[in-house]
Amino acid sequence: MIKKMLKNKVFVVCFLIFISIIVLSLIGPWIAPHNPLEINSSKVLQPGDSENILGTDEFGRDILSRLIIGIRPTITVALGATSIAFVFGSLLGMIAGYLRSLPEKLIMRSADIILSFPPILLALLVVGFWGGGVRNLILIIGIVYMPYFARLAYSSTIQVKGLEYVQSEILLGASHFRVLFKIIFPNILSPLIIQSSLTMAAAILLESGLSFLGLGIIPPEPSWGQMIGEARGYIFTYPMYVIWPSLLLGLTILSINLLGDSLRDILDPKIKIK
Amino acid sequence: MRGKFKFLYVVLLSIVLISACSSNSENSNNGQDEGSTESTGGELKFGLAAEPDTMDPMVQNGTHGRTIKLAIFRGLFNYNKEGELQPQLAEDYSVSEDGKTYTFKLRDAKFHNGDPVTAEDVKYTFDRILEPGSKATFAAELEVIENIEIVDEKTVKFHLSEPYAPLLHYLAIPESVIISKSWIEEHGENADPMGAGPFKFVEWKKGQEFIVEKFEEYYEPDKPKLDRIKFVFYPDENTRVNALRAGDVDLIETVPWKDVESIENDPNLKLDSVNGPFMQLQFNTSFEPFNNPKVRQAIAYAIDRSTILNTAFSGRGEEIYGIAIPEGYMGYKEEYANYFEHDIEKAKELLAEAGYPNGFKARLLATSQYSFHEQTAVAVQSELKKIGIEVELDLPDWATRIKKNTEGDYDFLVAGTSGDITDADWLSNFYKGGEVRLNNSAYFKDEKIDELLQKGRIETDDEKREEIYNELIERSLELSPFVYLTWREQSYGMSKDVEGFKNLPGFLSFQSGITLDETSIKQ
Repeated sequence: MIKKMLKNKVFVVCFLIFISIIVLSLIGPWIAPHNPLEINSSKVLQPGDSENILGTDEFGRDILSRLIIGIRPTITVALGATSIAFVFGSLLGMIAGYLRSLPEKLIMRSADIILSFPPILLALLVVGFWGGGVRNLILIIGIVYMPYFARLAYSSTIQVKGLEYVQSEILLGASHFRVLFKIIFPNILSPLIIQSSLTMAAAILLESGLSFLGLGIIPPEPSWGQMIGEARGYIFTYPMYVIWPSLLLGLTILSINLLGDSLRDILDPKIKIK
Repeated sequence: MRGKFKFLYVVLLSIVLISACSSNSENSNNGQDEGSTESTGGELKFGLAAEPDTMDPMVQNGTHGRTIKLAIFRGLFNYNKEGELQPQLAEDYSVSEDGKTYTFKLRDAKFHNGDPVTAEDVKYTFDRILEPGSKATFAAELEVIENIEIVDEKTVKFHLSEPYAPLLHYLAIPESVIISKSWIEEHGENADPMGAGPFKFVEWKKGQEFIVEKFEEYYEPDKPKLDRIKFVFYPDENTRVNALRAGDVDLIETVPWKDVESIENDPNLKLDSVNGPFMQLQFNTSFEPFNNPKVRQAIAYAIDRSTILNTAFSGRGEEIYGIAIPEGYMGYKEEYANYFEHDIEKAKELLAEAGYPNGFKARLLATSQYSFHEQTAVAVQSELKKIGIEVELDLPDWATRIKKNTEGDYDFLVAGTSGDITDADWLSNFYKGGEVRLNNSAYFKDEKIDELLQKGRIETDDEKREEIYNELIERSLELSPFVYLTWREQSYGMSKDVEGFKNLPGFLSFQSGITLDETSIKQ
């Protein structure tokens, strides 16, 4: 497996980018040259110089520091939301696929309801009621993406459950827990992992979109989406202010998406059965 | 197969590029004229910053609403472009000896449906405002009117409960325009707006635009100059400015400060700016530390106003370290304008005296919808951190922010506002004791201030009034229920072809819609 991973160049590059972003978000506060919240009203919207390498924003705050610290809320929301969607979505999907009848109907129809809304609309609605902020965003985005995992887990579970050796384990008296977690789960893991990377990219995009609109991360805490939203008005005065976060955001989402694609190649398009 | 598609793609791409280039040069041929300085006719496209939620004139719902109101309606009086009271539907008036009876003689004017404007309509307008439970924003200011008597079709008498110096001013605001009794009775409360102003209502496409056209029988000769006005709603400030730059609109309100310089430098555009409204902090005095005047004063000392000016307003505007009274208005004094100064040590001292040496936490309400509101809040948050006050920002959309304001759901809030009249009584709306309303500091009540406000209203001698208001202002600065931050430069941006539209001075900038009857556009 590892050999296959290393051979796939796209995977290696994207994985490295992904890991460096995670590392940056962890060590960010220590390597940022300035306090990202420090206002300096005499040095507003200045281009890069020796003190502020990438220049300053409309409050005179250092853009580079804000970019570095701005990863944190985005990654936190992305990882948190993906984890929630993965854990609860897969669990519900497995239950639906294993038990069929009533649980299946309840779970899958609820999933359909959530899926019928465009994610950003649903997120906007909920943020309107309960406000933004990292904690709320993790919950909202996590719930919005649960159905994707649920559907995937559901169909995979049904398929695996129908296999001969699984049927025989059940007949031999294996407990439901054992069947679900020791036998079925490992076999449906691959598509779920691929879905995780796609969901991470989508979560980053959703959080950035909400922050861009002023409804996600609460200022003055920076996030890339929020910086883009604020920089939009200054496109003619100081274009680099909007270009930097846009570039970084685009690069991040691209690499995570490619990561997912290459993972799919590695783990094989067909569901691998042990 | 592949080759064919490639070719088609290239052709399509070049067509798109060529048409994009050519449409640019088409637009720049506008405005070639024979050199007349004034013209009549034509359509003005006016970009507004928001859409009014109602066209019921007695509700003050923002500058955008007021601009449209002043195109469609007229009051007994209105402020003219010099900022003076001018008789409109009232041709003449007289006041009784005791100051308690005003007699207005109405001029010959017609409503848009042809009906004459009569004393009945005047009585109906104000009875409606003064009805208990009405939604009129200035009901309290007009409460002094006890009874309105119809003498004859063109004569109406206002009987007041006591003499009232600012009466004519409150009759001149856009919320006191005259509506037609028969029209509302026939068509109900949600009737199409119909008044006696220079333009009549045509259509309101909700969410998009509001169209009015010239009223041929307007009582002022040679007015209005335009044939039509199309008010287009652009809640996003960047889109609004870009629309002006692109020529999609001819005039916009509320030019964002970051764009002021580039519009000034644009050869096709011009700017009309006045320092009129101001930014202030309002406090919920039922929230623990904010009931203490020392704490409020500490905040007045702690905030470096230049930080706000340089960040939220791109350096435009002026600092206010005292009370926001424009120069030339009654009550203006140098020492009142510079009562406070930026002094962090003094601020910390006052906080300690008030019992909060280590600061405290508070929630600041502003809005994410107007960037200057949000940026002022961020600047205030950063300044107050320096004296130990941890501020948490609450940034909903504008409508929600107004709701929270009028419900008292805030610890303190950022407000961008203005007096509504040029008479000193504008202070009432802000300082009169009470519970919660739009412009007060929730639950603030000081008996002395209420007493002085009342005295100032009924005093008709200017010198004596000045004394009263000086005393009031001094007390208000001691108690500081408001912390005034900056004068806001309010700008209208327009194409060089627009003439006659004027940004009214001082507090009246929001009522500039009155000059739409003299506005013209080169065609």
